[in-house]
Amino acid sequence: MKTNRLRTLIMFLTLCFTLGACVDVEQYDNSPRGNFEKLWQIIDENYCFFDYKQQTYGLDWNAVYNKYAPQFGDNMTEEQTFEVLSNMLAELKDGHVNLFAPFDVGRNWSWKEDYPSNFSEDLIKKYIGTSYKIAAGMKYCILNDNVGYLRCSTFTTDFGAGNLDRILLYLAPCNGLIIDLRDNGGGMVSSAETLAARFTNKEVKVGYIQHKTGRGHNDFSPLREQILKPSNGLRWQKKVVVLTNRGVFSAANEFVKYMLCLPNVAVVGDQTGGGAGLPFTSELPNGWTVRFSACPIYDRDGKNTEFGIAPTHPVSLNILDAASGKDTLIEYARMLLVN
Amino acid sequence: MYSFGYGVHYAFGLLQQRLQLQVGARAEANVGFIYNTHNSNNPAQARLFLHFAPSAVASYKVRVANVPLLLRYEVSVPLVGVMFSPNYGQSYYEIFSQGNYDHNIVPTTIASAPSFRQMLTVDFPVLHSTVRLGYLGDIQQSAVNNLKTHVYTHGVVIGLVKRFTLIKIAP
Repeated sequence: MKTNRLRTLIMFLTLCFTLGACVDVEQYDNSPRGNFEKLWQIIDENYCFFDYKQQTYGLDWNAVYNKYAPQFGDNMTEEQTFEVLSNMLAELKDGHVNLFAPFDVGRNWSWKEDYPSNFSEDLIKKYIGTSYKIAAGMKYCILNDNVGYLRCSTFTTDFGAGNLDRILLYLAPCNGLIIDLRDNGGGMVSSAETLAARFTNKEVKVGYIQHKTGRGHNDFSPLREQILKPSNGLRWQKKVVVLTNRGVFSAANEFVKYMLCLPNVAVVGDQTGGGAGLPFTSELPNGWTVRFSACPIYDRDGKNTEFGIAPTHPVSLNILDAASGKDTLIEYARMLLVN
Repeated sequence: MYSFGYGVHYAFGLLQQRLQLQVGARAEANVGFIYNTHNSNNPAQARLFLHFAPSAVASYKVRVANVPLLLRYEVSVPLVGVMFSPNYGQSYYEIFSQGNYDHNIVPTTIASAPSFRQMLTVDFPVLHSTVRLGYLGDIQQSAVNNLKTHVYTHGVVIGLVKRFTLIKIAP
């Protein structure tokens, strides 16, 4: 009886142990062609803007394969392989798409490099001088017409609640607030939310987000609402002007999107650079990493902001103003806030 | 990563009780994360699962230079369980900052998460304790939410063995 029970248990265990199998993953050679195949596949299965970019400028990722595959050969150097792979990725026209090698970063920055910057650090210095305050990585001061000025150049740092409370407390007597976002390349979406939360008193729908659920170009989850919740700290109640240029990208683009949903907010400057895809990274057989847009984020009307958000007041830096030490965008913002 | 396991086995003695075979099942829980500095928005991959696994243990008593040793081999294969997994392209921002659940607690079977855990160890006495030293091989795989994961562990294990006896007292 005992022997029978033992035999039965051993047979059951043997059956269990043979039921499992390996989870296979396709392997690619660490050759120029192998790295090309892997990179093309990573983007093909994970990139989130194929349909949008096919409609916008006719992107066809299969055609890109046919165009670049013949360019790869076994005798290519590392630098040559990097150059051709970067050229292929540039077809996506996406600032969130980068190829990282030990010697260079493949990039497409045409979304800002092809346009005037509308920003000068030297002009900013004429407004804020040297006795500005610094908190949470931001510079802030009160201009001579009692307009508050907050320079937010990045969202890569966390904003402490206490920091934001003290900033807004200091600026509370001001008639209005300028948030200078120019050349802010982004950072953490959560930081953009933290700052935007100081400008609303109630929950506001600010957009939608979705993610891929499979390898197909159209395998997406349903759209989920993005809700901006008001901060429990000090909240700004007066007019706000956000200054933008083409360098406003990614999380900074998100911040502009949030602010346009709120009352008493104007956006002055140039169209933002865009960057509405939350990026992921993956790795090639040769160890290089590739970053790409994976989760698309939309505005509250369901529109894609990948190529930027238009300002409510398009204003460019005037060369004559600059020559006389004036920043056209700041002056325009002050005019909006005072009147 | 932290692993917890609890097993219940039925024991058989062979070769004048020098060889003991134990067959039964284990419940295994694993909590932790893997951090990949290459990744941007998903740098840390949370590892959280609970498995129920049939398992077997073979242990053999020997004496070497008059020192009692216990050679032990243990193996388990998870049969069913549950695990945490983001959906295919879902970011941790969506899950934890936005609270967007999308098939993140996934039931698993031996087909979707074929894994294998084995230990080959030797127990030997040190003062009044028993030390266990040996090799742990832990192969964890999964193919859920269109995501394939592989976590292979080959490690040296060292620990203390404590035996407890449950005594039932009938009133």
